[in-house]
Amino acid sequence: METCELGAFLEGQQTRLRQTIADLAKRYDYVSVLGTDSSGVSFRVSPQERRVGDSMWSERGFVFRVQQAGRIVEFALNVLPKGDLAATISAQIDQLLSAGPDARLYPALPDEAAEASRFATVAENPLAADPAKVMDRLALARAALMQQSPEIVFSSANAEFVRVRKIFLSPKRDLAQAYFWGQGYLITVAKRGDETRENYQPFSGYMGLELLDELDSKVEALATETIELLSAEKPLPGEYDVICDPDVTGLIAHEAFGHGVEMDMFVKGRAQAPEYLGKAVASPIVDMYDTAAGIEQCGSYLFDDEGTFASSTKIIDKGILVAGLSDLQSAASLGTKPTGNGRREAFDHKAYARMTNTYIAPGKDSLEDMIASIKHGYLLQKMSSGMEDPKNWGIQLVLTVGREIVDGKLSGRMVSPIVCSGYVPELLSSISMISGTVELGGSGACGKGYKEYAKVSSGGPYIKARMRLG
Amino acid sequence: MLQLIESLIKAGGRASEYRIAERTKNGLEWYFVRDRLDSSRAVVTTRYEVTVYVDSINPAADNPASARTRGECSVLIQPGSTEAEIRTILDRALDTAAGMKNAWFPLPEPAVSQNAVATSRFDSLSLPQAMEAVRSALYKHDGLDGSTINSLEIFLSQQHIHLLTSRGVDVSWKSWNGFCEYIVNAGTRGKDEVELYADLHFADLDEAPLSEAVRIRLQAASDRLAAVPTPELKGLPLLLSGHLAADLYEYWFQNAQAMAVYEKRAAFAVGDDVSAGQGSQKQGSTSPLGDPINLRAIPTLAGSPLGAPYDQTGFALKPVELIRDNKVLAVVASSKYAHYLQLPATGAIPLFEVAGGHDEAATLRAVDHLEVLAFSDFFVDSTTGDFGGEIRLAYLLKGGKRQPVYGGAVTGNLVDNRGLIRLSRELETSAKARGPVSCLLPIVSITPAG
Repeated sequence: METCELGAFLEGQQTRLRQTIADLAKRYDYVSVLGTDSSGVSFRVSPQERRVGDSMWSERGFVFRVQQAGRIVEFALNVLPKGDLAATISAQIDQLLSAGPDARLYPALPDEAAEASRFATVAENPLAADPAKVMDRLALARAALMQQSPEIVFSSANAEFVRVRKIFLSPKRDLAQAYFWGQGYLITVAKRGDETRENYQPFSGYMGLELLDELDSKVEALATETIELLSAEKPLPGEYDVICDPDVTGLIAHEAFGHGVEMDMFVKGRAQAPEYLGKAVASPIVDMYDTAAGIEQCGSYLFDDEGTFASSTKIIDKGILVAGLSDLQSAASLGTKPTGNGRREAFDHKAYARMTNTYIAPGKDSLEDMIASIKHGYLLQKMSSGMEDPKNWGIQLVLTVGREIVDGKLSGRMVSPIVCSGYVPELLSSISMISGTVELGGSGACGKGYKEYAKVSSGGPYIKARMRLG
Repeated sequence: MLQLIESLIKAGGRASEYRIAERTKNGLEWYFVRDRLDSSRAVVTTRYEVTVYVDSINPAADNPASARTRGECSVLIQPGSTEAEIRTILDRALDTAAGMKNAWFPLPEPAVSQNAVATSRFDSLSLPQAMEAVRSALYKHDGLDGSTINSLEIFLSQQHIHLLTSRGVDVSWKSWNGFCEYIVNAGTRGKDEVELYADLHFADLDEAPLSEAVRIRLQAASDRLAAVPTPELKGLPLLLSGHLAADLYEYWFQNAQAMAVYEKRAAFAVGDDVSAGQGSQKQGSTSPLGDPINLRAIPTLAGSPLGAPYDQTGFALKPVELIRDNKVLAVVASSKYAHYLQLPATGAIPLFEVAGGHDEAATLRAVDHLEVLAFSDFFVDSTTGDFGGEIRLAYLLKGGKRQPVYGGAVTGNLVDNRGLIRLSRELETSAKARGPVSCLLPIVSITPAG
């Protein structure tokens, strides 16, 4: 096992930054700095080509946040100038405070005393591994995929690992953390005549190179499913009983509902959720959580990008909406306790209220009983995309695999692609059965609208619901 | 810093080739809730993207032509890194590149691009002045018919790019990158309030299109209030306009990429007819045939922040005709994939242009159709040709009556529609393309709202 360290760069800046924060605190009502030094590596093996590069999540820089007379501004930079750093930062901050139209004024941002650090461990450090050997492992999986069927015309094996390193300093807080996350995809394309189908199998975790241990076990099922997709038909539009696998359950928890309880949406009046706090939004058998603490997945951390400790938030309790997820600004505006969900794509992006690891809690049903209970419907798998609609609570989920269920059994027929639409509370209220085991997946990234990507995971058990498919 | 990185690569003597890109950004960001500034940010960053190449000979190769290999590794070097840090990063990158024995390919030789980034009216303004001008334009129609801007984010930055390569490329250019995202609301007491999302990319201070884009969205939000659930609709064509149409046209551009051809993911190859096959056979001769597809790759587009005179390897870009009257003439090919496929290199051209069709948009709109103005998230799968999304706002034209509708979904496939898509004669420019303002797709499936 290897412990992730904070690294020489951030360690080397801490003393100067502490002094700078102390100097700035004399001028402004609130001041803090987030420092990041995250590095990552990505691998891709495709036909006749191997590529290695830095991860798109690599970053190194600082963002200073200031509040003065209620107004909040930030200055992000990745070169700390020599000389009087506080003077340089002040000059830019003062320009921001004096420019622009009429500003909203916020209650004082909190700055409670805390000193903490967390440095996670990994079994294999991907940044220290021999890239050629990592590529060999990926190449074997890719070659195995191609051998499954002559109809598979393309495959690639992709993996990415990131070591996140962050410090947060304010007059009363001194925090540090370092950890790894990893993700990957096996991708296939199959062709038969005019029909072309693309499919993928993701894998992810709060871990290092050991993530690749699960690669080989996914090859055969992915190849089989891709070939099945070549015979898939378009679904006949209509409303069906469906069973969502943990991946799709997570997509519902995240896209259909989770974005709607990000409390910066409450501040803007962009969410229906505030009107439903304390009211039923789902079936009484539904509990839903968002937690960056106590779970190890891609959305886990010790503190968020505003220096608030991670927490576990129960969003839905027995079908009742009980809480939302807040960043510092939305919590200050709404007069609530910050939940530790203030996250940035990188140091040079704004912090928003964001999800972390979002899931529906387990129930007591078996998957076999759930399938047996359906006269005609579908087992839905493989998310393709999803988009939030917190104001109107519309649903858009695009899925790749729908396995038909007839008279309580899988018929062997498949539909693809599937666009799920409808109204979120109706969907959540229709959940009638929930299986007993939660699975979380954290590949890909979550956007706020169409930008501001953050690492998250989502998941849950199998759920049975009623959904409109097209 | 650029010179330091280059000198360290040269001094190391292990790189067969290299390229370095320095990107600096100086930007302002304003975030509004309603019409008040919620917070503001300044961002000043520099980054260095370095790719090193290591060549070797594979003694086990069957023939000399395939014996030469080239490995590459791309790394990010942070400004402020010490010389020792840079050496460590470069050493590891070189070790990695030496282990990647891909087929050899050349890097582009120096050439002068004739497609410079257009000058911008932002050049004569300070950043705060430029931001204020954009803000003012965007809020011009706020309150139209009771619809308001709920929230708005403006990002504006000036960027400077400097490319250096071991082949002697040494070019630099400046560009403006403007982006705004806005949410509009419509609603009255006693009725549910509705919202619509939109965004805009821009590189020039042209107030009229900024104001007009927001006005259209505000009007649409008002229409959304009067919308009814999408009813059962069979056999009705789909009309798409603006950025949704551009997303659809991108299917041809994405498939006309050498990398897609090399990886056997492309839907067509040079010499193919993109209109032939399934769709036109299905439809027979009873319906009007679609317009021919004419597609060009273009490096820059007035007002777009996404263009560039050179690609990442320093290839001097120029327009290239890709599809003429449905026949694929060429594909966009970086030096690497052009060499692999033995095709002419074009460089990685970022933007595209689709020619207009025979009829005016008004003619396309005259037939009964469903026009979707806003999807929750419109998707077009460039591999399978599948497209669709959940409807947030559409207009149903049936029997001369135009009714706004919402809910339900549209799905379709571009392979099914081959040879049948009608394109408007009028063109429109978006951030990534110039193309027909509207298109009509005859074969789609419409799921009614629940």
